[in-house]
Amino acid sequence: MVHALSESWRILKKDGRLIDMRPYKSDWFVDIVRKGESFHAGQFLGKKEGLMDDEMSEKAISKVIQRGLFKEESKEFFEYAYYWDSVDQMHEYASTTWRNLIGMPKNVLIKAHQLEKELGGNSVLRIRRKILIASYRKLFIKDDGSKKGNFQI
Amino acid sequence: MLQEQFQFIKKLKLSNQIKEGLSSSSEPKRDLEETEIKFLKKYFGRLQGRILDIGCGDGRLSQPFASKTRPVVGIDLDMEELLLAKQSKRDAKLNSLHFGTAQGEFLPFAKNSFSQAIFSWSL
Repeated sequence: MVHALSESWRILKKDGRLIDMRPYKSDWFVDIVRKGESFHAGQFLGKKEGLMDDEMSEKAISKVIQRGLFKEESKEFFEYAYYWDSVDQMHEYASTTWRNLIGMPKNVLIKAHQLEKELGGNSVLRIRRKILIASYRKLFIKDDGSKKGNFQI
Repeated sequence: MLQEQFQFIKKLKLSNQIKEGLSSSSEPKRDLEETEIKFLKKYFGRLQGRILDIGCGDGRLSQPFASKTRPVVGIDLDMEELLLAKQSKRDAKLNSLHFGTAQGEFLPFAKNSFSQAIFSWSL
């Protein structure tokens, strides 16, 4: 990862900007939604493998900042949602595609099924994930080896 | 060589069949609110210059930002996703959008050649 970040530093122009956008693998919120109303069923748990990915990405970013290649400009989060027509469809998808990423506690699935039943046929299941979007400015390294930012640092 | 191409197309068709099968049953609808694009617009909105999309996948984030003054180059290692990206580029008739195979650790571009780079779900 550090190598990829260093490569992106190389190909960026002097005023270049790097955007890092990725989902955090720890937060998976489960809701049942009907006509704009949402009912929270609980939270799925990020598995160790995914959480380690998050940690490695953070470490790689910290390293290139420490090396003076980039300066953090901004960091914010937004929610990204997936929708299924039913709890069973979500379960089928998540137990194959996301099997290495999440654990699905029984109590959350039971609650989701209960809500689905109570709300009737017009409801959908939603999973919300937290997405990070961060911006970094390329810092200029002078030929004599000293660092100088594009902006005052 | 022909045999390899045949195998690849066969694999791709099979993969598409699987995808189509999933979309009719358990494949989710994603980001109906388009928050991803809205947030990226905050960063790319008014800026000019070449953008490199590292890990572009099917190009869903590359395409909305490509313009004459803001060419976008998308790279990925997943050939199937890249084929989808190239197809959508052809459908949209965008000359300012380019896709190719490359990995983030070895970018086949000259130094100082992009104004912005984005790791889209790929770091």
